[in-house]
Amino acid sequence: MRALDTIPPEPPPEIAFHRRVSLLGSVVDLVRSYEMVTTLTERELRIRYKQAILGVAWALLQPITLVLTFTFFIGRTIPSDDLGMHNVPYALFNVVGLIPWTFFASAVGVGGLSLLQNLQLVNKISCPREVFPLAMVGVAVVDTIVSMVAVIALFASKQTAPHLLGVVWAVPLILLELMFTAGVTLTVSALIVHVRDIRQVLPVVLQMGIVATPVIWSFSKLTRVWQIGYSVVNPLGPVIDAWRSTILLGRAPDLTTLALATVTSLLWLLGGFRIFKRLEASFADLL
Amino acid sequence: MRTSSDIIPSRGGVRLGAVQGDRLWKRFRADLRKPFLIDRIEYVRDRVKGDTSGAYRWALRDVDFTIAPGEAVGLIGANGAGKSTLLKIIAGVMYPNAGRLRVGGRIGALIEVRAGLHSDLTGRENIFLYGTLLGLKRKRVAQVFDQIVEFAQIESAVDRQVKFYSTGMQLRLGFGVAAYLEPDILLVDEVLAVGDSAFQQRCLERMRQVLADGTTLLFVSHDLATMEATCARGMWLRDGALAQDGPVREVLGSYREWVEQFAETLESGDGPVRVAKVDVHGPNGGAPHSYEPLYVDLALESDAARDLALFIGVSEGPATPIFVARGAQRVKPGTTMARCAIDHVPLAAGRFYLWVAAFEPGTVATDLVPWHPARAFEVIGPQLEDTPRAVVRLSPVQVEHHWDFEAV
Repeated sequence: MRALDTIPPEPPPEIAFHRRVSLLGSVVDLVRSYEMVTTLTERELRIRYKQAILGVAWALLQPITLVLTFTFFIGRTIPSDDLGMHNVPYALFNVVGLIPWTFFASAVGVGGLSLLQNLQLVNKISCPREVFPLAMVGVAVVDTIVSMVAVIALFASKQTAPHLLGVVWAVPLILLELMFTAGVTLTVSALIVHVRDIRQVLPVVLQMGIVATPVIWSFSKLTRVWQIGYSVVNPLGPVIDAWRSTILLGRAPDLTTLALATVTSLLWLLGGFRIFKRLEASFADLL
Repeated sequence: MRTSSDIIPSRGGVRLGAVQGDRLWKRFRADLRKPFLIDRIEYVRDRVKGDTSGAYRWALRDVDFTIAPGEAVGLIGANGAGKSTLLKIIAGVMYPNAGRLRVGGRIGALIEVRAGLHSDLTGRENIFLYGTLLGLKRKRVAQVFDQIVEFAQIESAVDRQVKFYSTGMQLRLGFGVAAYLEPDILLVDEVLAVGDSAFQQRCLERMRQVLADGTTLLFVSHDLATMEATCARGMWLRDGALAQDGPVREVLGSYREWVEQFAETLESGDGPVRVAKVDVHGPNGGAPHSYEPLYVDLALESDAARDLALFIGVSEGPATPIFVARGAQRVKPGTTMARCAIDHVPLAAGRFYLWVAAFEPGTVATDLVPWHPARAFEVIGPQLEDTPRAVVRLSPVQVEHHWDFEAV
């Protein structure tokens, strides 16, 4: 039997455990756990779209009511010249900004809480924990695809065809937004475990975001200095502006602000992943 | 075959099925339940002031062990001694604060009732999800799927969400998933106690099969008899430190002795009747022997003349008595000496508890002295024959018997 009083009160510092996390290794683990992500995403979607017709209707309800409200109250009070949009109907101007914003907001809003909501799994099985927030980003992707129905219907009702340039730019713009969204979702979901108050603050911030992001107003109307500054803080500004230029006007997007947005998004993604991996080791202790 | 070292890069480096803990330390924040901004601020303030006292509690202290592939290890210890924490660290759910852990191979873990089940997913989805987490191919999971469903007895509920399962169903599915998906190391927490006895027997049966296949088993239980019958090696955690590590009988012996220290100090209260002295002995005053007479001497103090119904019982651990004996007597105020004689005590060698209670007879019996373990005693005698592992629980009672064999 061991004499228990010979144990020092604290571990000697030389044996302290340092979790080595390499970015590449983590990504490999994550790719191997893709089935976990798909299962969680699938599950969430199945609950949401259980009744096929109604499910889709609910997914469309939010963007449609928002576009109608904005168009009715704001569209008729702002002269379309002030949007720098020539004769593009306000509803189209609005929906092109609303969809990227809604994607971001729902991914962060649901994904941010995903660790708290899955604590029974986080607590008991060993897997890369980022599968939980990333699965919710996946859900937001599907929701956004479904809401395309509303976008198409709006374009049809205004008898306007989107410009093909938008299709060309779709891939980089979507990637850009995915990087930013994933980075923010990872950061929020990890921090929320340590500081639960974020749970109360998050909806407020997201509510502010719909006004602070150029959903109802035009990014191109900002002064150049403001545009540059804004792009560093919120990459969604230049992204939405780029969608509007390409789809609605058939013009090439502003590459300067877009480049800044890319840098910011990349920093969010890498930083968010790092923060997440740093805090991951203590999740099970705190949940 | 994929191993968990792929899932957690810093693990691995040992043989498949081996677990090696090297000076493991784990601490928890004392204010676990308050992860709010204000607590962070207070914490930082305390740190700035240089006051870190009381901020942490060490749940594991310098735990050092090596488990070879295929070993069956029982983990014992009082509540809060760090057993579950150690399991969680081995399972890769938690990380130690200091030390090194190396684990070889896939881990199936049944930690708390729901194990790793997701309550929003159906039974079927959970089985596949857990399988893929362990790194099994979907095809392989499909092959054992029916066995798991059959073991868990959830045939009709397999496509229902787990949150609608009863506790028993969740437990069965949790164990089935952990024990059938080909783990190299199986961790079983004390949750088995929640299941009914038929289920417990099936779990033990499955654990034996898994052991026979060469899987390493780490088993936490308060059911010492089951542990003795299942595990060859025992590890006793006390206040987060590994107090003893060795053959299961030795470790359980020391553990029981340690537990008894507290049992013996139990007071019989200061009600109207007190048990002032308890003595258990053989004919010549020493320890009793198997099959020989055993005497229980009690000194009873009563404040008034009253009718007493007196009970004594013998148990092996802090559990159900093996037998009880009842006596009735009208006592006078003051001290009464009572002796209960058992002519042939059917107990095998080992340590036992003597329990005592006294009631006032009547339509509703009144507790004068509540049923409590009054003292521990040793019985000297031949060791019991070893029973096959986990088939029968080791029995504390030995009865006089003889066999007749006749060829027909």
